Amino acid sequence: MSGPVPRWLRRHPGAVVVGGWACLNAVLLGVLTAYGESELALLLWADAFLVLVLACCAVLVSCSRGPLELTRYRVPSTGGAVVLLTACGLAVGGLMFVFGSWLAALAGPLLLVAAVLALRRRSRGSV
Amino acid sequence: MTLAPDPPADSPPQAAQPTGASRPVRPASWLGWLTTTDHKRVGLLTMATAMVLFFLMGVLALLMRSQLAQPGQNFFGSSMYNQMFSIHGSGMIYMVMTPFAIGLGVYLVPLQIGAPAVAMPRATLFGYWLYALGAVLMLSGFAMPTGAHADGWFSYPPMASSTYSPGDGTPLWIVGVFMATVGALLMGWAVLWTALRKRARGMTMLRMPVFTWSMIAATLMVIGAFPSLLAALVMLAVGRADPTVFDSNAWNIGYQHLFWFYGHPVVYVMFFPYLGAVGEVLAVFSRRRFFGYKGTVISLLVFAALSMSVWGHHMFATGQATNDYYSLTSIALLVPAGIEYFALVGTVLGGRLVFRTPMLFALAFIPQFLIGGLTGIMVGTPALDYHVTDSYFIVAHLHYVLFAGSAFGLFAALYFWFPKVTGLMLDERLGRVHFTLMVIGTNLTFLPMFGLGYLGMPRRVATYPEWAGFGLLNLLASIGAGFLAAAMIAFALNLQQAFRRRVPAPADPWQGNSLEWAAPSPPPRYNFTTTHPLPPLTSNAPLLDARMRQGRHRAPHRTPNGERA
Repeated sequence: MSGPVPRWLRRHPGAVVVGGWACLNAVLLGVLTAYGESELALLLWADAFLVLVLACCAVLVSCSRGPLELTRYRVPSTGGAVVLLTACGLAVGGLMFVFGSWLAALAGPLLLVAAVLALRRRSRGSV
Repeated sequence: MTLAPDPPADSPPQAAQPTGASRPVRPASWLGWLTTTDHKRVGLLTMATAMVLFFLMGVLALLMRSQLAQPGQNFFGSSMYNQMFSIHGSGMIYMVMTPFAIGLGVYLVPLQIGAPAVAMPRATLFGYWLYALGAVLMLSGFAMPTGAHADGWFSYPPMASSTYSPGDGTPLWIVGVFMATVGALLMGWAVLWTALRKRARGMTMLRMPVFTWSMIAATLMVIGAFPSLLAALVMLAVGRADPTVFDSNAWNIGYQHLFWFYGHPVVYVMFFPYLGAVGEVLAVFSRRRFFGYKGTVISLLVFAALSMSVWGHHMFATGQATNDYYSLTSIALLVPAGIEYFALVGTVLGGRLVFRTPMLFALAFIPQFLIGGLTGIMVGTPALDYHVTDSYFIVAHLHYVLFAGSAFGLFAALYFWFPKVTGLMLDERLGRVHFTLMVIGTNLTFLPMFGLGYLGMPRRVATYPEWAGFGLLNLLASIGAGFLAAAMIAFALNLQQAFRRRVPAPADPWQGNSLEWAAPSPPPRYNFTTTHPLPPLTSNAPLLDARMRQGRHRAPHRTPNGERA
């Protein structure tokens, strides 16, 4: 397993992995269809397959637009407070499903404050 | 990556430019921890939260085992017992093993690929908070008058519908699991993007350590399978609002399809990262590079792809899945699994073994997980599955996979990377006590359960009559649980001693192979500095290469080019 990497794999490793993944799934899906599985199961698999292919395409597009390996990085160092407030707001919002819509009175302000903070940060020029 | 001068304290190297213009929160403050965008802190928060929940879920398990130790005991009523096994299972899967694995990736992947940060750090932090708040919501069910969720970790309708499970426990469970799953998706996507798009110059795909590859495979499954759980939870929520939804068999079976489309791959999400960690530990403590690296990488990807096609084996007994097909794909998993096993064993064979605590856990992982895997093949065969389905055989199988396997991998990882993460050494003697008690406890608890299942004891029963003949094996299992509790106490004691005695850890206490061991312990904000720069990235074990080049370490294995050294 430790021989030299083939040239085609070295030149387009991402495309080969995505293609291989797609082919394997297509074969398995074909076999499942031949076995007569229900449409729901086929649809489920096709959806997941589509999500993964989209994710892979996002990576491939990103790779084609930038260097594959980096020497400089942009690292956001702020914005954590907005994240915390948003998560709390969504958690309270989720509780509306359990305890009723009155919790919107709590979730709304939390999310609003988070949005205001995010906008202020953006207007100050931070990313 | 080249780093410009970076002497004072935590100031970022030139290569890593912070983009925040507003005044950041002081990093050392508690608010600094809660709002951090440093991948190491987010990873640590995730792992620490998971460990706290691990202890809590362990307490629930102990309470259940105390009830089952003897026939006819009734410390807890069946309703309370149902809540305990439901939250134990849900907690361990949604809130402990999966998040810990992803948290480990958040912490380690940037370090292993030579990056100063994770991709999308704010989304990663957001993922953590969704997970942590989701866990709180799920557990808050115990405070409800009707109690916590009580329909098991997979919550099949119509049992989980509002007709048969009224009260707030199940809705809280739905919201909590939904949030934790979205959090895991966000963190998983960030880890995947980091591994694929944030690698330092020289870090090609085939120079990434096995652990990073295992995270890639795991996060691919997160992205492919976790949305299915979200869909299942939405269906359950709709069904609770309108119970007539579950009058139709199509939706009951539909829920099972949606759930298990997530439910099987998640087993590998809870396994691959620990397998990768075990691979790293075995290589380092065998003083060689990982054997069969490329084969393992390919098998991880094939395993991940195949794992999306086996979910129906959880539905054999419904009679509404194409059993032949799911049995075929389930058994086909043996091929990539066999390659990975071969690589693990091959790494150890011919190595110069050093038996430190992480190595002990990693070595125990191999045979114990094998029991879980082989019994998985048994229950992947419909004829055998009909006999043991919904029995204690299944409980034994899943615990051999997730506890005897994954949890041992987790502790191997924990003991291995603890010095790197904290800058402190754990006590070796207490580590060995922990390991010994864990091995005894694990096998004493879960091995008898195979017998119980074979004899016909159904899972999820609050008690059993004396005439059933399950008493002795249950007693053995409960004694084993006591050993496990003692093991966890030894572990907690070890942590407490480490923070009290504060024995400092060097940057590379184990003679590690991958890049994280080139960073200081604990690593600074942007991971690599001028005093601890990135070494030349020559293979998936660059530090081993460096030692070999310097002639300080003679290793009886292959050079980066594959020749014998």
